[in-house]
Amino acid sequence: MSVICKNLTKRYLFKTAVDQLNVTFEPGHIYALLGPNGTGKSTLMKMLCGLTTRTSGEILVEDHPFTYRDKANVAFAPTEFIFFDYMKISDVEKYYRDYFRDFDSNCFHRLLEELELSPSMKVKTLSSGMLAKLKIAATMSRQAKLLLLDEPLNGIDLLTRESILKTLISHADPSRAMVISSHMVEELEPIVDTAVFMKEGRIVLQTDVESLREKEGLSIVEKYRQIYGNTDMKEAI
Amino acid sequence: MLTTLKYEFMKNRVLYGISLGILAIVELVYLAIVPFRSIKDHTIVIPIFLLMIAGLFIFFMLLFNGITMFSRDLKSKAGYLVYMTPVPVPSILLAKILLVFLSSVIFGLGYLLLGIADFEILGSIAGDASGDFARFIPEIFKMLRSSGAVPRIAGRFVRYAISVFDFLSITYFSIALGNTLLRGKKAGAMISFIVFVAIVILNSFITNMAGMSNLVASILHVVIGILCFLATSWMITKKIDL
Repeated sequence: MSVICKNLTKRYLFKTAVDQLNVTFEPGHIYALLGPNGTGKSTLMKMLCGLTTRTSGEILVEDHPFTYRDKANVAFAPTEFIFFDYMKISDVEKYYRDYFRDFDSNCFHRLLEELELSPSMKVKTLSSGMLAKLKIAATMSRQAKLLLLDEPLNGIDLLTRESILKTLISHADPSRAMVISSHMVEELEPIVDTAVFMKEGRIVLQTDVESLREKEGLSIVEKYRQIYGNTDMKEAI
Repeated sequence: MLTTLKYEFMKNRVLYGISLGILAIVELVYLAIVPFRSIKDHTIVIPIFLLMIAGLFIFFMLLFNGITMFSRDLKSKAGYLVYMTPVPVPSILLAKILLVFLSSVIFGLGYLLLGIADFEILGSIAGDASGDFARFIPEIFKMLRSSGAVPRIAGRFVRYAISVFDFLSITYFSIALGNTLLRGKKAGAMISFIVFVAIVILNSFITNMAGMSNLVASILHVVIGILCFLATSWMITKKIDL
């Protein structure tokens, strides 16, 4: 399932979060959506899963405009706490199973085991690292065609980051596209094949990571520094 | 829609538990006091009054909660889980309205049965001294057995359903207006509140219009409710911004 954004724009009263953006997400690829804070990465993801509507432009899913039905093929893991207060991890499983036909309970339980989570844990009492793992487990257990992961490595320790990255790699699939936004550019580099750099709501560069290395001799981190300059270097690494 | 209804119920189950808990405590107070109080000194009125206040409080809390849940879903991240599902917005809205309607009806019926049981207990303890209280239950049964009672009750039930739908549709409309089309705009909240007040005034004008039959007034209320419902669905579908 390819998703095409054509002149996609999201304008607020005093700010344009996404500005005339053109990008295509093809199955079989893992995209790194990169850029400093406030460049429109999260807004783009929310538009792609229907949580925010566009001001103008188009989102085409297999050549038809995005509708609520397409949410069945898009799995989104936002950076915020999204679960209901009453939920245990087992309730999260039931919720996803009830709403998403592509949700695989066996896969979910396997991931819980790998990520050292228990179905009886109360979601409200989980640490930020555990919550990040839970969001990954729930999202990756869906066989969705487009996976959107917003800052999945944010605020969590090294070992948890490693286990999340391992999970992401193991779920890469030629039939689906994975879009990951993160400030941990260095850690993302080994698992992505395409880097999309955003600045002020626009895409300033979309490049194949391999060809970036071959043609320019640059890693994503180095390219990031080149594009955003020294002011964002700390954020980049 | 049933799945959404189920999860809306789950989200509110603590509130339902607290409501029933409050009612149970007041009922226990009533049951504890009734045998020891004389109906003549009127102190029995206090627990009866408390039961009535608790009932009204819970009823309005159910309505108010239906509004705050909708508003919270449009304002906070709690709405992510609701609106990222492949469910059409009208279906989500209907589930929310249906939950308020069903919970208030179920609570109302339970409360009525509890009231009947309490009056029976009062009558059996106080006997003739219970006066007006003792006549209350037979009056209800007499009314229920009278001819035309079933259509009259069904009529009231339908009118209540229309009121809930109408009131929630208008409220949801003004909340959705403030959180979509007028989001981030100066005086957006004020404008949406004024719109709400204007529609409520229009509604009461229809109700009190001289010469208009109840049926026509009800139809107009339904039309206003449906228009608000459709407009809310459109605003959320086309302008949601979480």
